[in-house]
Parts: sequence; C-alpha cells; structure tokens
Amino acid sequence: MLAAGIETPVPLNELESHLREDVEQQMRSGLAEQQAFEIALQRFGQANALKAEFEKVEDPRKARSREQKIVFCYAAAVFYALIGIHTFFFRHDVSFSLAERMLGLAAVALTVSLLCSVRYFYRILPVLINKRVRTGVGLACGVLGILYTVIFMNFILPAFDFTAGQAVVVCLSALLPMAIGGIIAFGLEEATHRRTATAGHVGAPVNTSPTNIEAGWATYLKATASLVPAVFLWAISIVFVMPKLKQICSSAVGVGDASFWKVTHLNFGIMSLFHDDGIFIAGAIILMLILLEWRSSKWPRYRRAAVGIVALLLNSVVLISIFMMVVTATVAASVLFHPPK
Amino acid sequence: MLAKELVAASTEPLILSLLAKGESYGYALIQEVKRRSGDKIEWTDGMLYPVLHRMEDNGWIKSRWAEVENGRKRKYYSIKKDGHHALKEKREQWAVIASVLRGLWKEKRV
Repeated sequence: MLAAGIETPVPLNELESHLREDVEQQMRSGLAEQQAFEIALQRFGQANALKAEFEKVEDPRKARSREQKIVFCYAAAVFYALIGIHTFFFRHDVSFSLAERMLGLAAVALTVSLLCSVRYFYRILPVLINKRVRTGVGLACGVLGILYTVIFMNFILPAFDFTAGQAVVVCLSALLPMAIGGIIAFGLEEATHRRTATAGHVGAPVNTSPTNIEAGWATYLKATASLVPAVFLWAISIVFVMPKLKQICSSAVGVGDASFWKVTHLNFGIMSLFHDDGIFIAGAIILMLILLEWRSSKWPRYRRAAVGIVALLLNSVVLISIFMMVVTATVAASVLFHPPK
Repeated sequence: MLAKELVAASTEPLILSLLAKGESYGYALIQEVKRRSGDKIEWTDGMLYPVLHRMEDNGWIKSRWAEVENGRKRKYYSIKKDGHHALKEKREQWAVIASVLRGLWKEKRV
C-alpha cells in the first residue's frame, strides 16, 4: 500500500486491520494463509482506486495546507503589486523613462496575474499520477525558478551597465520565473487531486483509467481557436505596422537609452523571422504533431497539456511583441514631438 | 445487488443505526449488514471506510483503537450525540419515503 502511495497513517492501519480480519475469516473457512491473504488483497480492490476514494474525503490537514499555499500566493501578489505601484509612481529618487515605466509595470502585472491564477492553473497542467514524478517535476520547476533568479542577480546583472531605472525594471522581471515555478509545482498537485477523483458517489464501482483524455481534434481545435486572434493581429502588424515603425524608429534613433533600442531591434528581428520563415516553422510543428499522433502511444495523455502550454506561450510572445511595438511607437513619438535641442 | 444510488444513500443511516446499538468496527459492520440483508447489501471496505471517516469529521461518530487477541489493533467506532440527532433526522426522511411508497403500492395493487 505504501508502494501505491497511500500515505495517511491512520487509514493505512485501519485497512491493514481490516485485511487481517478478512484473512482470519478466510482461514477459519479452511484456506491456507497465503491463499487467504491473496484473496483478501483482491477483495481489497485496486490500491489506486482506494486512494482516490480517500482523497475525496480530504484530510483536513491537507486541505488546510492547500489553502495556506493559495493564500500565500495571493499575499505575494498583493505585496508585489504594492512594490510595483510604489516604485513606479511614488519614488522620486530614481527617474524612469516612459518605456521603463511601462515595461516595469507590465512585468509586475504579469507576475501578479500569474500568482492570482494559481487556483485555476491546474486546468492546463497534466495529471501525473505517480507521486514521485509529480513531486520531482514540481521541485524542478521551483528550483529552476530560484536558480534563474540567483544566476540572474549574480552574473547577468553586473555584466551590463544599467541605469538605476533599468536595473529596477530588470530585477522585477527576474522574479517572474520564480512565481511561475511555484505555481506549476502547486498546480501539478491540484491537477492530480481534482481530476483523479472517481465520478459518482461512494459505492459506485471504481474505474481503472481515472482521467478522461480529451479527443485529439478537440484539443487542436481549441488551441487553434485561441491562437487565431493573436496570429491574425500579429500578421497584420508585421505586414503593415512594422515597416512604418521601422521608418519612425530610424528618424528617432540615437536619442534615448541605447538598450531600449536594442530591445526594439530584437523585437523586430523576431518578427522578421516569423515573417520570412513562418511557413517553415509552422510546417515543422505540424509535421511533429503528425508524427506524435501516429507513433507515440503516450502522446494523448500529455497532448492537452503540451498543446495548451505551447498555445499559451505563443499567445504570450505575440502579446509581448505587440506591446513592445506600442511602447516603441510611444517612445519614438515622444522623441519626435520633442526633439532635443 | 441493489441499485448503486440506494446503497450509497442508505449507508449513513445504516451505519448510524448499527452504531446506536453499540460500538463496532468496520469489518463487523460489513458482515452485519450483509447478514441482515440476506447478502443483498455487500459493502466493500473501499466504500465503507471513507464514509466512516467523513462521518467522523462531521462529528457524528468517534473512534478509538483497541487491542484484541494476538496483540492486533482494531478501530472501534461509536455514535455521538450529533450522530443520534442525524439518525433521528434520517429516520424521519426515510419514513416519509417509505409511507408514500407504501400508500401508492397499496392503492395500485402493483
């Protein structure tokens, strides 16, 4: 039973006691001890199913610790939001350019909204039944997030020459991966708890495949539907807006902080990449999906999560890219309207 | 075997009624219900223990570990005051259903 992952001690002892009663009963009917034990084990039902039943009757201790983690995320979100507002609106010792202000607020907003979505994040995460794998992945995400922040603070930050304003913005964005790591770790647990509980009430026969796998076409349809607006807008931006923006930038370049223009060029570069090679990238992705559907037997279980995460990433990239274009335009416009003497 | 919903719905009133007669433990409850129903109601341990835990969380029953022969431990459940109240409520509800059905079946000559 410990191997199957049932961990709360009291129910474990109770089931053990029940098992022994059954064994005794069988032996009284004349069976040999080993046989009686095996029959009792069979009557027990599958250990996994049992665990699901127990998890429906949730241990009050576990429920409380879950709630504590969620509240901690909300508190962190509020704390972070306050820092953001204070830094960008009320601090007067550091001067921020418009671009820095917008980028910094965007980073804070993104982190805050991620932290607040912790309760619902489990819906796009896969169900990993094996508790060891689940804990491992969650731990890895959390550690990666922390590692990223540490490396960032110690190696990347000193390497570049940032003004005070830029340093603040960059630091705020550095905390984002930590938040993501924590949320993924929490969400994985949630996903398993919420989606392995057997349907129906106590007393119903427990089925062996606890999760319902969404049909492939449904997953792809949903992903495409969620991507269509973003891709459409992005295509329009690349074809119409970017050339104009490049024009504006070239007349405004040379003014303002150099690193901002570097970021803008990076943005243009990424967009050009998709403009020129987008067909090939899309083709490669579709080919890979076809291969996975055809060859891999494990794909359906992770399909929803993988496709969901990729769609989320793509949407985020498009959103950030378009936002950068807006910021670029704003900065360029302000420079053009108030040319430095 | 009776319909799932009936078995599920009747579990709590059955447990409370049995425990009202005196304290007992999981295995014995299953055997008793099986005997009284002429083998028609066969509870599984996977079904019973979570219900017992839920009822304990509600404060209807309490449990204690006791040592039996061979030094083995057994968890005995007994009913509490809230459990008696809950049992009384459930008795009234089941009585309503039973009397309505009885009345209908007497009329209709089913």
